[in-house]
Amino acid sequence: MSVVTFGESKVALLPHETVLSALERAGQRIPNSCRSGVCQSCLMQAVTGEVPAQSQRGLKPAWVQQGYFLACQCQPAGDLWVALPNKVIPVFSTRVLDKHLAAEGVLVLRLEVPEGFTCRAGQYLHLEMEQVVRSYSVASLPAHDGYIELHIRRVSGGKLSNWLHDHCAIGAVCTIRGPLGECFYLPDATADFPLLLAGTSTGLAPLEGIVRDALQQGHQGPITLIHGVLERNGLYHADKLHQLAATHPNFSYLPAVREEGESGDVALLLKQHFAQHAANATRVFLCGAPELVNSLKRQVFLQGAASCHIHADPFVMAPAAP
Amino acid sequence: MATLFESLGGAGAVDAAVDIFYRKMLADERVSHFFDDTNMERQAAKQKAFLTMVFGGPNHYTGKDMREGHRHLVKRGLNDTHVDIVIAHLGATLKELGAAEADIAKVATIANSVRDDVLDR
Repeated sequence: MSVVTFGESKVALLPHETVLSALERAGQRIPNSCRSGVCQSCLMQAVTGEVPAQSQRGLKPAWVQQGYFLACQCQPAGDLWVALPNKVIPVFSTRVLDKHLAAEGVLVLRLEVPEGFTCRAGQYLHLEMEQVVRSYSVASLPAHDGYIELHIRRVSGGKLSNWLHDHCAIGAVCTIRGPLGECFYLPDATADFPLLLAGTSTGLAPLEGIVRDALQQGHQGPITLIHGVLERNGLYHADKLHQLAATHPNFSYLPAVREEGESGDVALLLKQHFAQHAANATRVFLCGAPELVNSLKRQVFLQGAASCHIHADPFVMAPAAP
Repeated sequence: MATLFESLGGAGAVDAAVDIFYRKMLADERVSHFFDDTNMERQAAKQKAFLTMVFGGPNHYTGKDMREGHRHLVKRGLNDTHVDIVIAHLGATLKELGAAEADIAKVATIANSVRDDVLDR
């Protein structure tokens, strides 16, 4: 008999009972609607234990990889520890290894990889220092590089960004919670689909990581990275990315400087991409200013990208300090 | 005899239809403004639930859900014309997916049956 653990409650499944029914029997309220594996309202995450494939039918590959499943379809063979999506956030203590400016106002912060921390490039984490918590995307491949790299844009009046730029010392201790998010590279049955990545300002961070991750995993399809900035001096890691493009013929790096006209128009560059590559096969990653990300998301969907292949990570700013 | 939902292809048909249908709605200026400030993922989930219902699939939709879910849009001018457009896009979507005319008509009938709830009257 399988036992399902959810928060404080432990329920032994009856024969043919689903996780959803068992949790309800135990007095838990789990969002649900169709109870037939279609609407996906009862999405949950397995913290430990195996869920049957039937309960992951129709979910995005990134969700399957993170143990998400539909509670109404889940009759596990063994014990399960489950949670509602995104309620399981591991906490780690770490310290600053290095910091340097990559461009005017863009700080590259490197943290030690704590014991037991695993993360895919492109996911994000909550960084807590000086009693302030902010979210940043992971730009490095921690297991390969040996550090967690974050790109911190100096935000006018921003509590943590200014402190990190001006005062944070090497060796300073901090708390990270994560990883979170589903913006990361997953090879399919094939590795030859087009990848299109577009980001503004420090929205480059997760995208740079995803590109390196895809290349390391031997992605064969065309990879296009568009970095949108307002002025040319906002570009950073351009040498590194040009270098990567020179050594990987399937990778193109397109810096897009807004004030330089058409070549700096991210929306136009995306459109040009779809003129050359099949939209419905393309995996799209968008990251940066929420307004732009949301409008680009709509644009790529209308141009034919499948909704399950559009991964967007709008950087929402904390409200300004009073 | 197969139910309407089964004959349309079940959950797989909903998965296949959702992008096509939602893309048609967003591309149609007569209705796209109703989707201006909505989160695309949340919308896609709602469209999925809606398609499951009109395809005759399992659902727990109630008239109350329909009224409450659309009241803010009725205030912004949602009327019969827009419902007609939705039903037309629904039909075109199913046609693209190769559904039989008789099944498309049944789907339109189900969609029409919630018209008064959607328009809150």
